[in-house]
Amino acid sequence: MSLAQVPYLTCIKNTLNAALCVQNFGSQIVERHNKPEVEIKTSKELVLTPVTICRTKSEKVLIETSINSVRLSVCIKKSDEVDIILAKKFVRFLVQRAERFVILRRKPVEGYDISFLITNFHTDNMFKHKLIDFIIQFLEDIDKEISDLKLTLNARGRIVATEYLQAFK
Amino acid sequence: MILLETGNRILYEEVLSFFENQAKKVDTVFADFDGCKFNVKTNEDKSKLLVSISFKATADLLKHGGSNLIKTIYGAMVQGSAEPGYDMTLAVPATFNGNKTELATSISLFKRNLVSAPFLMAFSAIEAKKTIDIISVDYRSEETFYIKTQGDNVIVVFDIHFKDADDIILSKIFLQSFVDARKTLNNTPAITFSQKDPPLELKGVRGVRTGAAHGFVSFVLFPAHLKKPQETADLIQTFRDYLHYHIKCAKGYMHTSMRNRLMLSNVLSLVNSLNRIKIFSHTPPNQSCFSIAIPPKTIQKKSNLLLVHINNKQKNKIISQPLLNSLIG
Amino acid sequence: MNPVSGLPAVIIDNGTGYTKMGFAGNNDPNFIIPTAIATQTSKGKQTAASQKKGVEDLDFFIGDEAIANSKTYDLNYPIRHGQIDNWTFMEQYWEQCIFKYLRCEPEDHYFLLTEPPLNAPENREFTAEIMFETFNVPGLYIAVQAVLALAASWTSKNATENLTGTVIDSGDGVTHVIPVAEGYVIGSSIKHIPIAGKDITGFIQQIMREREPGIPPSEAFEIAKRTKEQHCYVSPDIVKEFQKYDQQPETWIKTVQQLEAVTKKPFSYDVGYERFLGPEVFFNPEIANSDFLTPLPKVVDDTIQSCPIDCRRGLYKNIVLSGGSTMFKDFGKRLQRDIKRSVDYRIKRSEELSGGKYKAVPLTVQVISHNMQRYAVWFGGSMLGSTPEFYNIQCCIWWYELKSLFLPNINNPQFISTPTTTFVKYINHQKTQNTNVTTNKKKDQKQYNSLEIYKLSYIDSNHGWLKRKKIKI
Repeated sequence: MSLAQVPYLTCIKNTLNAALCVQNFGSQIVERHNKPEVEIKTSKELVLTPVTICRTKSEKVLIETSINSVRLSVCIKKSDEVDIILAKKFVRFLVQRAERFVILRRKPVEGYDISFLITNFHTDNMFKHKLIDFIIQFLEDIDKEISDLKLTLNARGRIVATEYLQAFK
Repeated sequence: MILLETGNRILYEEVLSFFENQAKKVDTVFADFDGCKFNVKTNEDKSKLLVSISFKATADLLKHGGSNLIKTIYGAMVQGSAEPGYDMTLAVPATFNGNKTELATSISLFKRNLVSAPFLMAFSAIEAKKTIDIISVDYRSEETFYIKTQGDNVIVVFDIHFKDADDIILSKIFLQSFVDARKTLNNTPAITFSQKDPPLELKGVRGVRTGAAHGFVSFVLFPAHLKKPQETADLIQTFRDYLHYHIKCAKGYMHTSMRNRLMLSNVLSLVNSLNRIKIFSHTPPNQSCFSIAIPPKTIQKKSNLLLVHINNKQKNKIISQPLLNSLIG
Repeated sequence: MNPVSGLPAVIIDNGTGYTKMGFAGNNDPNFIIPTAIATQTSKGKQTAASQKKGVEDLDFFIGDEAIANSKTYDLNYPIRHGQIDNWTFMEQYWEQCIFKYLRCEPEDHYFLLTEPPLNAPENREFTAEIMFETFNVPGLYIAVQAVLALAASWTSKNATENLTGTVIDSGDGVTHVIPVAEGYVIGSSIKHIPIAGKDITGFIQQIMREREPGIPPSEAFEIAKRTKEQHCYVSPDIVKEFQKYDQQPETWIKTVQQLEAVTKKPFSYDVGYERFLGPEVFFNPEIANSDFLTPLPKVVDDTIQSCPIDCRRGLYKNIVLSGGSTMFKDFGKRLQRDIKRSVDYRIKRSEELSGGKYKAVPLTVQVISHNMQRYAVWFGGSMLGSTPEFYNIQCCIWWYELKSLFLPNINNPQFISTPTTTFVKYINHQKTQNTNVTTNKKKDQKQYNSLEIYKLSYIDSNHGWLKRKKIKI
């Protein structure tokens, strides 16, 4: 973790820790249904105030809380157009494999790159601190992965160009 | 495979198998780079194998040195009129009794020879200290390449069109590395590239396409390169395909590393730890629920980097002191 | 032909052992190469992007070249039991198939790939991901192998041109019996038999080892294989066949002269009873091994009997052969006779049991053999790929992007369906675009915006059904 990121991630961690207070809550509208209130927003009093944590203009996290579910949406750092397509590719790749991540939402919330949806069933089955650790780890990794991809792409470009030009000799 | 091959494998094998098995009726259609289409078929009495090519640039290429070059290479095999639907046809007689592998290799290079023609013509013009008019070869529906002589040098400009928006950005990285790599290497052609607008070399040329999806790459070939005309022509004509091939390989490579990454870190840490928890965890469902409020001031005090936006529409909040403590640190 | 570039579609049939690839409209695949890839020594495995900075991933060989280089490289088989096992290797494999062997630009060609029956939708989706995102193909169709084999049988003059039938697909490793109704595979009734090409080769080798001591052991396998491919046929009755051989050995038993590969010493061997005993393994498996004892005709009959009753007649009427191990002479005839026998017996019994009150409508059993059997799957793909309908039914990039957001399943396994409204609109929309030569990205976007489509809306996680909603994008 780079030092500059520490306060940002700590803040997300603590907010999540507080936000992940969810309980089983049946739908108030449809009998015997149980839906993530943060998604369907049937009633005002079940949904709490969303929190946005920003580091820079493009790097931010939105945490929406409700009685039985929490939704976390991430905007990944993007400094140039290469970052944009790399982030797009990476996120799409993850979303294609959403089942593996259990809590990954198939479609990000509008304006964000990737979203997680944690319901009370998830917190029942898994340790809360592990869940939070996973998300924090994920946030750390994704930046690193994208910058790694960018580096390899540049390195590759150089090799490809050199090979071609050398063949002229 | 880093550099692309120049010969067409299918064509090579079709020619060889024609000699091996002459009784067989053949009619095969296949493709090559740059939207080129081949048809290989036996004529009615199976005495000849007709190799036809359909290629958008044929007319341009034949005009600029192609007809001479093809005649010298294939001689009598060139059929006067092409098969219907195709631009040019070679007829290979079944009675051929020279070296068959050599013939097959030479025929598999049919397209390469055709495309080399204008390059070789320009190179020999330089050799003879002549100048030629700019040659433009319209070889794909959206793309053209131009050949121009300038003093002792030959300038080749590719107008490359990308269909995919992401490819434009990836191509920029690659083309930039071509320009950069040139700086560290000696005796290589000079390279410049520009997006959207055609380079100065194409000033006054009619019908040059422009737009965000078009990239212009110009090579300046120095006299040293013209000493090996065929090799240089081979390389330069595959440039576009080379670029596209490597953009695709790079994307494939990104997939690979993302796949590996997924294997390594995320999924391992997640699935392993989470699944284990599923087995061992006996935590009862959370009975309590808290709402939180984050005092912005406290957090801002901690670090000026952090900004917390709070929507204060909802007033009724239970503030839990221990939670708040954990939140602040 | 691709409506934009006028180039034929690319058909790639990746099998466990061999990959057949070529262009649509041809009778034979342009390349048949082993589905093997030789990569640099396992470096690729434990690396994330950060640990590797180069183009090591371009240093590999596929097909016969892979096998030739297996000493200095690691040989891998990316497909196991018909399903893709290693996606990285498969992606690289396709890379060379396209750029080195077929030499085509994937942007200009539509692609048809095949999948085994009961393939997981995830696999289909990963394939689409690679094809669309890495190679930018304009369109992709993933066809079920059995269905293509059925389509290939239309070349036979006995065939009825429909998509109901039983496919017997026998390659080197395993034999499948796959019932298909109206283009849909009846998944629950598929049966697999562990007898296929390599078992027959092994059996022949065993017989010859006992009888022909003159064959050098190093060549025993090759000789057995050649015998299988060149001399074997299916006999109507083994007892009679044995008698025939004993009475006139000179006309039936062939002597083959050969040189040993290394020492160049001549040797000779006889090809005798194994000519009909080899393929007999399908009909009397007990002669070769003791693990699996059900003869092929019985398995086919059982398969059809386990299918829904209303499609059984269609399944008996159209039994289609596919794969190299069904190429024996008279294989189809014998199979047809044996199946017919058990069917007729069953009908007779039930008529007897009804006390002669009910008469059954006669049932046709027909096994269809044709010339394209060996590469039936590929050939079916080639046929499909050269029809104009093909360009209406496949999954376009745009459709893929839309759908991947909502559903894991990209294209349904249906073969030729009436194109959905969306497809028709999309295709028409494309057509109008093509006439307009100066298409640029902005214009594209505009036309997309005005395009009315059906979008699948939010997935209800508790119920799993989908709501269909008409919206404008």
